[in-house]
Amino acid sequence: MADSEDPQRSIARLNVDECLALLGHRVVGRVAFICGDGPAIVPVNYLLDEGTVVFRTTYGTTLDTIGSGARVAFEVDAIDEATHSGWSVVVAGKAEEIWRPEELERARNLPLQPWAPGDRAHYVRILPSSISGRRID
Amino acid sequence: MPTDRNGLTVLTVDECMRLLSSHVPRVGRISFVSDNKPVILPVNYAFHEGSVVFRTDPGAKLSAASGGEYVAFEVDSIDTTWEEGWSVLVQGRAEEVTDPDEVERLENLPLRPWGPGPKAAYVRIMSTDISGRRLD
Repeated sequence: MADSEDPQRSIARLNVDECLALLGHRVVGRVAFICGDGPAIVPVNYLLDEGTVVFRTTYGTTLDTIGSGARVAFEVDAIDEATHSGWSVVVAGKAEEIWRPEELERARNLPLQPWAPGDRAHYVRILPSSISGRRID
Repeated sequence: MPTDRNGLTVLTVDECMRLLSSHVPRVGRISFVSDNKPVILPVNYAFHEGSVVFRTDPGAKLSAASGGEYVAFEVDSIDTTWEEGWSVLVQGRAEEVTDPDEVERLENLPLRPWGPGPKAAYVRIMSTDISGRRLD
C-alpha cells in the first residue's frame, strides 16, 4: 500500500525553531556535496553551535571539496520502519573550514566526537542559508 | 581487510550490496543537484535485481533528476554509543522505470514514496560506483 493511497497520512512542514530543536537531539547527520560529476554523501557526527552545524573531518576529498565555501546540504532524520512516521530536517548552506585560531580553539572544546577513527583534526561548519523540515504522521 | 587512511575498513562491493539488501529500516538518503546546489532527502528504497529503487512524485525536484542525472544514495547504521557502524554510498545515474512489465514487478515491492501524490514513478539508480566503510 502506498502512502499516497492512505488518507490517514499527513505531512506537516516544520518551522525553523522545531527544526533546530530536532537537530539538537541527534548526533549523526549526512552531508551532501558536489564532487566531480555528481553528488556525494558522507555521514558525520555533528553539533549545533551558535546556529551553525559543526563537524570534524580529516584531510582529503571531503575537506578539499567543501572546506572553502562549497554549497552543501545536511540532513538528519528519524523514521520508523513499521509505521513510516518520522521527521527529517535539511540544512542548506555553505561549508567552510574553521581556521581562525580563536574559533578553532572554541571548536576543539566542543563535545564533538567523530564516529570514525583517524586524525580528524579539521573542523568544518555549515552556515545555513535555509533550514527546512517535515514530519509525517 | 584493507583500511582507508582513517582506519575504516573498506567494504567490498559484495558486502555493500549485502548491506543494501538487508538493511532495516529501508530508508536511505538520495542526493541530486538542482540549480547547481546539492539537495538531500530521505527515501524509502528497495534493492531490486542489483539496483537501488525508490519512488518519487512527478513534479518533485527529484523527479527532474530521474532523467539520467547523477545522484548519490547513502545508507548507514551508526551506533555512537558503541562507536561502531557502517555506511554505503551508491553513485550513478537515476532513470525512471517505464517498462510496464518491470513496473508490475516493482509494484510487489514494499516501496512507499515519502510524500504525497497519487502517481509516484519508480526510479532506479544505474550505479557506476558502490563503496562502503565499516568501523569495527
